[in-house]
Amino acid sequence: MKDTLHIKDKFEGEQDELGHKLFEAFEDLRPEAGEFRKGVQDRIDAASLEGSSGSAGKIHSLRNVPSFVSRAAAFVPPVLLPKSIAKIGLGAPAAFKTGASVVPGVVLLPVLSIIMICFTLVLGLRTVHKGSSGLHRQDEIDAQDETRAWWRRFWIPVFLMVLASFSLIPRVPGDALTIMITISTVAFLGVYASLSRGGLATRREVGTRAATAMGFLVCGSIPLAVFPRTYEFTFYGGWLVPIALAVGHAVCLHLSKVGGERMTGAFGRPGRWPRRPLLSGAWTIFVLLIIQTTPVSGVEGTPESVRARLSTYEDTDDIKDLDQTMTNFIAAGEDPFDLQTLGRAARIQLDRELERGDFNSHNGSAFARLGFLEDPDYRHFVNQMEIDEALSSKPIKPYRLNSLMPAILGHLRFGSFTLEERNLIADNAIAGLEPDRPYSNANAKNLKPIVHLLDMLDLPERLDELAPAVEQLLQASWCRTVNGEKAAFSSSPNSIDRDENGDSAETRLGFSWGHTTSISVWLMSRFGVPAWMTAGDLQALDTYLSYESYYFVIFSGLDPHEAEATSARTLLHTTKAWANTQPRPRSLPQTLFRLRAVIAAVLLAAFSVFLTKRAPEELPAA
Amino acid sequence: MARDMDLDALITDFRSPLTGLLSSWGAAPRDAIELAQDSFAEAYLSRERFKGDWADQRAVGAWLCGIAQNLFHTSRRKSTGGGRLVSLHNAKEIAEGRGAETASSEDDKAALRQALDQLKGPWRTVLTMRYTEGASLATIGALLGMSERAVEGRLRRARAALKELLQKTGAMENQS
Repeated sequence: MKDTLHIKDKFEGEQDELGHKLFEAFEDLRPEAGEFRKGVQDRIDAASLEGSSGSAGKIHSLRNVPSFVSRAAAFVPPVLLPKSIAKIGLGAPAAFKTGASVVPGVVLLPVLSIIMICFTLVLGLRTVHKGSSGLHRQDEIDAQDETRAWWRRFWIPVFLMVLASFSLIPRVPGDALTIMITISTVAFLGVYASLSRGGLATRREVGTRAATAMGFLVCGSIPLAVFPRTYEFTFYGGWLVPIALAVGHAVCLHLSKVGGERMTGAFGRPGRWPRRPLLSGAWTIFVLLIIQTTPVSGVEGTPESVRARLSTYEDTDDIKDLDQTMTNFIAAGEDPFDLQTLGRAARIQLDRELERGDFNSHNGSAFARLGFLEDPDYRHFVNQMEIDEALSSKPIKPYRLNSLMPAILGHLRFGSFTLEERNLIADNAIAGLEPDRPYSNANAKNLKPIVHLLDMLDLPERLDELAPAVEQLLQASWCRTVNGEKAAFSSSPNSIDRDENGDSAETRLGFSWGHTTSISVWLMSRFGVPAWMTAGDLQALDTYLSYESYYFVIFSGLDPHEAEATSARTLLHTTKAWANTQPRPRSLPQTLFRLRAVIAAVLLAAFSVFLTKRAPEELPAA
Repeated sequence: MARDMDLDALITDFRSPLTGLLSSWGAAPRDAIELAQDSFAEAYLSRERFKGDWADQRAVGAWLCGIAQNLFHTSRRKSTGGGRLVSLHNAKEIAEGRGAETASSEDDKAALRQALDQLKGPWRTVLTMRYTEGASLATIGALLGMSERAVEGRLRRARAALKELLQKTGAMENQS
């Protein structure tokens, strides 16, 4: 029996021949209702029973598996995996069979660093518990021989680990540093055990070696702690790492000097404490504290700091960012900003361009939105050819729309469009969006001119039509780091590295994504935060914007990029979804996990100081 | 108090517009149906994560649309060697294997597909969603995040444009 079209809420003239023809054309999209329902149920049953879905091979059960477990499983032969996990294709060979990409091992580093810290702790406690061997003698040559013997035995694994850590610094500096510290601890404990066995573990030998190791690590960790935005050193309390190491360094150096040589003090009197190591340690800590607690280091941008900066800002090169900054602040309900200085600079630039008869259309639109233009300026924008192009029946690509904007602005200033014309321009702009076009790298920047156009044309009802594209582009460009701490909207969605489930496998976010992210936040404030975004997503986005808003008060001051991030963050905080975001208190394991670099540094410093202190300071009779 | 999820009702309301939507994104008919089934199964399995009210059709539609998008993109990424996903309008398989139908009917369908191909994407989307099985304006709007009025407006414009294209090719001469 042939199906017929039934439309309950048909509008006038809808159920005509065309409707029936379309209904026939879409016949292949109409499965039998019972079969369709059964197909859904089969998938649910398969997922419930076996942890996987059916025909399409989607991995539904993964939602219950911690991400690091699923990634770790990619490296484990299926025979070693639980049956359920192996079945869903997470083992390396299985992943190969299903065409799933094996995720980079770098995502396992947090787990690896935790394991290494635990190993270090056990090894250190064992060394401490074991105590030192009975007889001690101080012989520098013997001590060096013992040390060399240990290194001869273990240099290959240590060298490889250090090399691996160095190579990982650009991608995951925090974990690379953690691993480097734990390797140093293991090496120190190994050397200590070797010296102890030879009866050479005197305070001088132990303390000197520990202090040297920590000295190197202080130098390596300071840049990570001082420039967190550059190095994306996102560990909580990361700046405590060099401080803990500096304290350990100073104390070990002090102990080794006191015990080893009975060295003279700063004023040459025997028995006095040597001041130099203590002073250098105290100086390092003082400097780090100053950097961390004063505006010398980066501070988060605020609307007030942006207001202060922009009141004297006169460089129009970054007008695109500043335009979006103002758009965000206006949407967030911030009070007006003083842009007179910037306006004067814009005036000079525009006059110069108009004199040449070749103005920058992007800047023209931005100047108009920022309120820098007068009627004579708009007259220069009038261009009938471009208006004819906008009113043709051809889709207008977003980049072209940017170019046509001044002409549309000029036309609106001195004339008007009929409702039909306005709708036609809107149709063309929306049709030119093509969010689905492959390899287009479409993102929020493509939507921005269309939203502005619909605002200019006073067609708010047509914004609804953009909602699916907004949702689609936001989702396609969304990128959250593997550790989940930061998230942003990519300006090149196609280049996001994704795992077999479609989740981001990125360990770092692009430094140039700030503008796209800022526009995306503005779109979310206009169209609503997508339903798929969780509270954690919003917090990760906030963390990214917070980092991007960091600026150095003394060295560079707040730049337009940081101002834009500040505005986006301010706007994000005004959304309804953010208001409903309740920061979840972190559990103790979560807190310890975040503090892993600090814990590794404290362990190294503690074992070093303890073992140095315990070593005999007096030379027994040789 | 929020209602519990009623999977049957969800399928009844959204099956045809969601299948049409997936098809309009470029999935072949069989894939569109499978992806729609995947989407409902995924929605059911992850129902705990839905924070809205099940009675709010717009919230449910937006959520379902997000799931379908995820699955569609994952599926598209996994497709290899020329694409498992082929546009409905490019899929010649529709026209093939229909020996029982008349040649003129096939010509009409071909002309219709050609005309649909020439339409703007958003217009093609609403037509596919509406005429796959007569989905209501409300469910289409819920999936697309649009008001019923906006959907109706878009449908009217899409139909007018399609008619014009068909008239140009002669496929709608009788009606005009």
